[in-house]
Amino acid sequence: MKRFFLTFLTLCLISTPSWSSLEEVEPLEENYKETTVTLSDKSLVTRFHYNDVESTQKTAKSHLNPECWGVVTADSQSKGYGLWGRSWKSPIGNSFSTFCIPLDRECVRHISWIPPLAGLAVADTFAALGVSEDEIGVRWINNVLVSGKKLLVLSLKRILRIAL
Amino acid sequence: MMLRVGIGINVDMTDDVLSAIDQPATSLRQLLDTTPSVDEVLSVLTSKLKSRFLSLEENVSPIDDYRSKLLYKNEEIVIREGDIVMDEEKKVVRDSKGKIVYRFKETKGIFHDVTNQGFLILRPSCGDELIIASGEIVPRVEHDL
Repeated sequence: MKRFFLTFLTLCLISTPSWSSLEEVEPLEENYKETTVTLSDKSLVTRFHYNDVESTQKTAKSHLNPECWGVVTADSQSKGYGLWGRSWKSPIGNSFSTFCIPLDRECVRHISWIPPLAGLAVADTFAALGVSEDEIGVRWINNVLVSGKKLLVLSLKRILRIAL
Repeated sequence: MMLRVGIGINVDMTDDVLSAIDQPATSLRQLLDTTPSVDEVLSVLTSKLKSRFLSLEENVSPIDDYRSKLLYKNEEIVIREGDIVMDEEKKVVRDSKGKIVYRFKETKGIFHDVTNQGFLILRPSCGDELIIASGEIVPRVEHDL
């Protein structure tokens, strides 16, 4: 059983090519403000907001905290990207965010569900904002479409070791 | 282990910008009577993401919800840049030289279902059912255009 689990976990880790395991941490930029996001249950998540960044994914490397969630946001991105590194138009007036999420043991055990889960969370968001649920669909693995049209971009990176 | 989940959402895109995108695209401005603010979108998104991760920590499987939202089920699809192919007995597939197939450029078949792990079950027109862990799917009709 243990051997099966280890094999399965290895397969899951190998099977997520868009996730990188070790990355260089970028130096923290100075031009940002730190606030909080208030969630529906009134809990708070720290928000690191920038006017403009290359990509929030890249900037988030400087805001990893293994103890709690955080989110890096920006008004605009100059080099936003999605699946397979494809560029994503990122003008002002749209939402660009990267969530830094510590995973507990139970989440790691279900790691293959994390990419679909991110898509489901976005689908939940659209529905909560008033988009008709009948129009929302998920193109496996996590590409959420509304009436067959693209509305978002998602990218996931896994970090095994944090250099603080 | 930590995870970085990057999410970009089109909130207030003009028709001009949308029409310049190389695939059908929309934004919340086009979909809703009132365009929400970026801060409102972020607050809802953070809440929903946290709620989904909490469910996973509590060992609640999202499979039924996921299945109900999946597009192209039982349709002919093409999968590009896929990874890890297993046969129906969940054994890795080996090529003619006995090497394990980890990646493939493109494969076709009917999108049958997803496994309990969220992997895609593909039924090719010939050969064994395949279980695919990652890749990008395109409906066959779109692919052949």
